[in-house]
Amino acid sequence: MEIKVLRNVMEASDEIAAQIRHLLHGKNVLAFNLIGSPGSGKTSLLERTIEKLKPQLSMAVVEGDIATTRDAERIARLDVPVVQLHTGGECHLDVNLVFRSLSDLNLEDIDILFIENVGNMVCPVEFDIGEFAKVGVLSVPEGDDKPLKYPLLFRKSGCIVLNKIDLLPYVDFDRTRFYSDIEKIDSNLKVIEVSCKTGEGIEDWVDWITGIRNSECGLPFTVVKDYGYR
Amino acid sequence: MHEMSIVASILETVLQEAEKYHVNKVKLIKLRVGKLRQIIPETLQFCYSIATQGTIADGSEMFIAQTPIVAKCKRCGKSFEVDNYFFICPDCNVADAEVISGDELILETIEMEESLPSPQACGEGPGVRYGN
Repeated sequence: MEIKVLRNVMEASDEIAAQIRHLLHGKNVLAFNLIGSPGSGKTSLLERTIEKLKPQLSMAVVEGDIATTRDAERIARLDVPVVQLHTGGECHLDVNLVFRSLSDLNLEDIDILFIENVGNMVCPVEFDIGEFAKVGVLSVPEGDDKPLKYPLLFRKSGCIVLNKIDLLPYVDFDRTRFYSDIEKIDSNLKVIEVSCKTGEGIEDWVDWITGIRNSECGLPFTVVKDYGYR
Repeated sequence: MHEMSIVASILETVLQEAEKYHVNKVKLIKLRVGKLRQIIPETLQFCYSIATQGTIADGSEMFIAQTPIVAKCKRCGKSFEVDNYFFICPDCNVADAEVISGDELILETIEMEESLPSPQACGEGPGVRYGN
């Protein structure tokens, strides 16, 4: 005997993501989900961003790691609220874990929430954790072939930050190829080149964030891409 | 490997539905998985075989039908199938498209073992004798 079910398997997790989105929207908190390989510079980008934005906006960080509190310690030095999440081996942040972390933060006092996902370019992309937008963080030494090798990250991200551009003279990173491959996936995708080492480009990245924050039409409910089937 | 998390959601859904229909033993489940999902069918099946151990779905098979990615060009409105994650509209030659389908992860059907027939269902019509 066969039973017709026709149920979205991710229904339960999507519902929690929707609750998070609703909660953050209600508190006027803009949340970014940072996704990238280990060592691409996600924490360094956050350090630079916090330094730059601290005078005008209040921020908080949720750090996702398999183990250690190293990233959270780095952020805590900048005197912003930070919650460390341990996935215990899981390759991505689970929506339940993120939901629980929010109770450790005073959302009333937060303008921007950065959620740094576990270092991985594949798995975290699959899961909606209630963010306003995913941000893909890559770095020049990883190579220019990432758009074609990890297309979903480029499809789902609201913006790509290309870090470590100070290393461009020393590595074989073909910028033309990188951009022409992105063109095939999403011609509207915003790419911001930065160097967390020298500070170059950080202004553009920060402008992108404040631009959304100050957007005239207010805080859009979501720019999370490609959820058309729901 | 994120397949294990996905399998946990699948199994939860299967067990919920099985309970709803009073299923004692699951034989086969059929899934529809869009190609936009970064899922390796064999890995998903392997994880499923592990996760189901000790449940009523133990030993059941998982059939996966992969569905293509379909996008719609935002400029001309044309719908087209996406190959290799290239979202380029065949008419406009630009990747300015939204995904219409290909992101699904749907549990379509559950095939269960026939439960023991009730006495009423044994006969071929009214007036059937039970036993000798």
